[in-house]
Amino acid sequence: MQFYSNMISFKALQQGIQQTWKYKPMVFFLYLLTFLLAVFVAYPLKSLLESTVGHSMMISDLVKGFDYTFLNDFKNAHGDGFLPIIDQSIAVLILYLLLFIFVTGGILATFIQQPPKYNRSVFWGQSAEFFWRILRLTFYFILIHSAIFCLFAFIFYTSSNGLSPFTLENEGTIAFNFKFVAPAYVLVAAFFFMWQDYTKVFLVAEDKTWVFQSLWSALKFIFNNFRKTYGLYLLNLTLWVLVLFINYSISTCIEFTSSSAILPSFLISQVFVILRLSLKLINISSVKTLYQFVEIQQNAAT
Amino acid sequence: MNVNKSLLIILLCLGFSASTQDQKQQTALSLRTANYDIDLTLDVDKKQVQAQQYLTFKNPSADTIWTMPFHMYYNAFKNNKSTFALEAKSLISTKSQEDIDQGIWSWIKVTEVIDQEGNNLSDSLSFVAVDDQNKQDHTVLMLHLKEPILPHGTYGVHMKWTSQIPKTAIRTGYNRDFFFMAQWYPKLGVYEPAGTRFATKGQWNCHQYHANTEYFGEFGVYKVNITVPENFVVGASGFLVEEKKAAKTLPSNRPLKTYTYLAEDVIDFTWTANPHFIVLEEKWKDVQIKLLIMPEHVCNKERFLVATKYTLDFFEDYIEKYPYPTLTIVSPPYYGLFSGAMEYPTLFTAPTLCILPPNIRTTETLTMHELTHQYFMQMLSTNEQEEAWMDEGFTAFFEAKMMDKFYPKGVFYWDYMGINIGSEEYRRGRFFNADNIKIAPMSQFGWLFKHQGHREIVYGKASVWLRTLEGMVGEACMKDIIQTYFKRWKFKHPCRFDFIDIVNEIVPQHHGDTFGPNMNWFLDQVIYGTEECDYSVHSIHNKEVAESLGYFDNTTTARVPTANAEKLYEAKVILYRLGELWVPQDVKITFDNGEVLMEKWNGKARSHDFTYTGSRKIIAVEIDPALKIPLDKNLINNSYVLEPESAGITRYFTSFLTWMQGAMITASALI
Repeated sequence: MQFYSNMISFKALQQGIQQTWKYKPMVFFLYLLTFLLAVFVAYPLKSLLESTVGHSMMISDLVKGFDYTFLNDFKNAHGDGFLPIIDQSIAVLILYLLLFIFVTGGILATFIQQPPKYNRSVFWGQSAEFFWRILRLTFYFILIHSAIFCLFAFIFYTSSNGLSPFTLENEGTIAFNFKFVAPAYVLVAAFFFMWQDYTKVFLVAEDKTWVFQSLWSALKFIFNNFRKTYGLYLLNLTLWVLVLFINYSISTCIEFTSSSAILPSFLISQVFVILRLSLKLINISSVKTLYQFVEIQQNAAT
Repeated sequence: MNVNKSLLIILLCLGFSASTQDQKQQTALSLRTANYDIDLTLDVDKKQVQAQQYLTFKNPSADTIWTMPFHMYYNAFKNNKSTFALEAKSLISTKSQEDIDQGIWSWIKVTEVIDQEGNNLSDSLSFVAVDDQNKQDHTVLMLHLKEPILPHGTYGVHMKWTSQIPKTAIRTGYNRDFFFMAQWYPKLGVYEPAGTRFATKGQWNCHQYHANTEYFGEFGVYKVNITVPENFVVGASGFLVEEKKAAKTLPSNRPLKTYTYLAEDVIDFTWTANPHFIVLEEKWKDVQIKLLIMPEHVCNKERFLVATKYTLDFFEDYIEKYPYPTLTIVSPPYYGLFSGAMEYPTLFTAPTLCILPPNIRTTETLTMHELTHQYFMQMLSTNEQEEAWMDEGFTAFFEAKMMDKFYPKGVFYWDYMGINIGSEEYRRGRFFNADNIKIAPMSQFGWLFKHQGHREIVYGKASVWLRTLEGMVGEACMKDIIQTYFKRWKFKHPCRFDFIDIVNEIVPQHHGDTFGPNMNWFLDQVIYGTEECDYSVHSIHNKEVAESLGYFDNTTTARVPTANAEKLYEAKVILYRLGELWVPQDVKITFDNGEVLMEKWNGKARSHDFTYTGSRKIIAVEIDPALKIPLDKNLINNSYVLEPESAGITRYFTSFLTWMQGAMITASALI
C-alpha cells in the first residue's frame, strides 16, 4: 500500500514535469513577467549609478562584485536617491503578487483542461474567472501562514527563554531548539501550503463559488490521501532544495569577477530563475495530477 | 593598637617576602608605585567578597601627600542615582526589575583602615564626586591621612572591606556560578607629579565611575590570595604561585581552596571563577597561554589560540615581545556574556558562540583587539577616562591591520554572494555610518561625550586617522613612531602630548620638511577638530587651443591656417576640497597618449586645477590613487574618467535584477 502511495506520488511528479514542459509558454510568460518587472526596478538603479557615480574610477572595481567601501560611501553620499528605488521595489513586488494571483486560475485551468497545446483563451479567460476567488483564498492563507509562523516563533522564543543570557545555560539551547523547531516548522508549514494548493485545484476543477467549500473539500482530500499528498509535497520540496543546492554550488565554486564574466553569470542566474518558476508550475501540475488520479480511482471503485 | 601594629608588620613582611621570592621578572619593568597584597574569600552563596588588603604606595613625587583616593567601582551599582546609573540609562540597563523589586543592590564597603603606623583611619573616610559633585555617587572614597606620605617615601595602609557583587551587566559581576571580578577592590588613584600628563602641580587622578569610560591605574605588584569553593576553576591576572586547601569553609560548610596569584608591573588585577571552565594551555615562546573556556565552546579553541599567536608574533616584530610570563583568555559562558569583551592586564575576555560559523570572524577580531590592549593601555598606560582614543583608537588601528594581514578574506565573507568585508574598511565604514561624525572632538574627556558619540569617535575616527597618518608618512615611518613611542613610554603614563611630540620628532627624520616643521597641522585637526575630510574631482576640460590667425604684432601679413597642423589642447582638471579638514594630496593624471603624471597638491585651497597645454588630452584623474587617506569620507568622488567604464554598473544592474526576480518568486510561494 505504501509502495503504491509512493509510486503514485512519483508518477504525479513525473506527469507534472511533462505537463509543465508541454505548456512551457506559461513558464516563459511568467519568466518574462519577472524579468520585465525586475528591469522596471533595476533600470532606475542603473540610471542612478550612472548619473551620480558613473564617472568614478571606483566603478571599474564593481565588476568584482560586492564592494563594501563603495556601497557604504554611495549610501552616505547618494542614499536619498536609493529610497525611491526601494519604494518602487516594494510596489513591484506587490504588483507581481497580484499578477501571479491573477494568472493562477489560468495556470490551473490549463493543467486541468489539458488543451493539446497552450491555449491563450483558456489561460486568460480562466485567469479572469478565478481572480477574485484566488485573491480571497490567498488572503486567508496569508493569515494562516502568519499564524503558523508566529506560533513556531513563539515556541522557539519561549523554549529559548527569550534568548536571554541571564536565563540560558548556554547558546547551545538556542541551536538545539532551532534544530528541532525549524524542521518541524517546515513540515507543518508544508502541510498548510499543500492545503492551499489543493484548495486551488478544487476551486478551479469544481468551479466552486465559495472558497470555503473548496477549503473543506481539499482538507478532506488531504486527510483521506495523506501519504500520497504529503509524499508528493515532500518530493516537490526535495526538488526545490536540489535546485537551490546546485545554484549555491555553482555560485560558490565559480568566481565571476571580470567584465567578460558578466554575461555568463547573468545567463546562469536566469537559468535558475526559469528553473524555480518551472518548479512552481511542476508543483501545481503534480498536485492537480494526483487529484485526478485519486478521482479516477474513486470513480472506478464506485 | 599594638596588636594591630604587630599584625601589620607581619603582613608587610609577608607581602615583601612574597614579592621577592615569587617574582618572575628579573628586573622591575615599572616603578611599581602601588603594590597590593590582597586576601579574599568569595562567598558564592551570598555573592559577596570579604577581603583585606595591604597597599604599599611609593610617592613618585617630591610632594607631601595628605590624602589617598580610592576607586570604589561597585558603588556605581549601589543606587539608581549614582553617576554611572544616570549615565547608563542611555546605554544598557544595569539591573533587572526583579532585583529592583527585591531591593538587591551592589556595593563595596570599607570597614577598617589602619595605616602603617597603626593609626586607625576608619573615621577619616569620605566620598567625593570630583567630576559632577553628585552626592549620591560613592565611587571615589577619599582617605584623609593622619601621617603624610613624605616625598619619595613609602606608605602602607591596611584595609578590610566587603563587597556585594553585582549581576553582570557591564563587564563585572556574577551570573549563576560564573564570577567575573573586575574593578572589584578599593583601587588607589594615580598620583601625577607636576609635569606629568596634564598636571601643572602634583595631584591625584581619580575620576568617578562613568558609564562609557574605562579605567586608569598605577603600576605595581599584586599578590592575591583567592579563596573559592574547591570545585571552582580560577583564572587571574599574572601567574599562579600556589594552590592549596583552605582551612576555613563557607557558612554552608562548602570546602574552600586558596589560589595565590602574583601579577607584576600591571595596572590592575582581575580574576574569574566558575566550576565549568576547561583550561587549555599552550606555549608561545616562553609565554604560557591559558584559555579558560566552556565545554560547549571548545570547538572554537583554535580560533582563539591561532589569533593569539598571530597577535603575539605581530607585536614582537612591530613593537616588542610580550614581556609577561602568562596570558589568560577568558571565554565567558553565554550567561556571562556581558563580562566580555574587555581587556585587563595579562588577561582578557573574548566571548564566542558555538554556533558561530567560520566566516564570521568575531572570535578572531575580539582576540586580536583585546590582546592589543596589553600594549595600548596596559604597558602604555594611558588614561582611558580622559583620553580613550589613546587606547581604543590605537587598538582598533592595529586590530584592523592584523586582521587584514592574517585573515585576508575579511572579517565577514560569504562566497555565495561574493561578499568579503575587510577589517580596515569595516572600521572606516562604521565610523562614516555614525549618526554624527562631528559630534565632539577626540580630545574631550570620555564621560563628556553625549548621544552615543563616544564609541565612534574614540574607536572609529582615531583608527581611521591613524591609518591616514600611516598613509601619509609611510609604513616604515609609522612603525618608527610607534616603536619610539613604546620604548619611551612603556610602563608609564603617556598622554597625547607625548605621542604628538614623537610624531613631530620622527616624521622629519624620515621626510625632512616635506610635511612642514611638524605634523601639528594634521594632528590638531584630527584631535582637537570635528571637521570632516572630502576631496573630489570636479571636472576635466580638454579645450582645443585655436591657432593664431590674422594680424599680430603689427605684422602686415595675416597668419593663415597651417596645413596638417597638430591640434593643441588646454587640458585642465578641476579639483575641489569639499570638507573642512585638509591634507596634502597626490593626484594622478592620465592622458590619452598613455602618459601618466603624478602631481602634488597641498590640499589647502577650496579648489585647485592642473592645466597642461599640448597635443594630449586628459582622460582620467584620481586624487589619492594609493588610498592613503581613508579619512576622506567619500572615495567615490575622488576620481573621474571621461569615458566611463560601464561594466561595473552592468554587473550591479544584472545582480540587482536577478535578486529582484528571486524576491518575486520567493514571495509567490504565498500564492
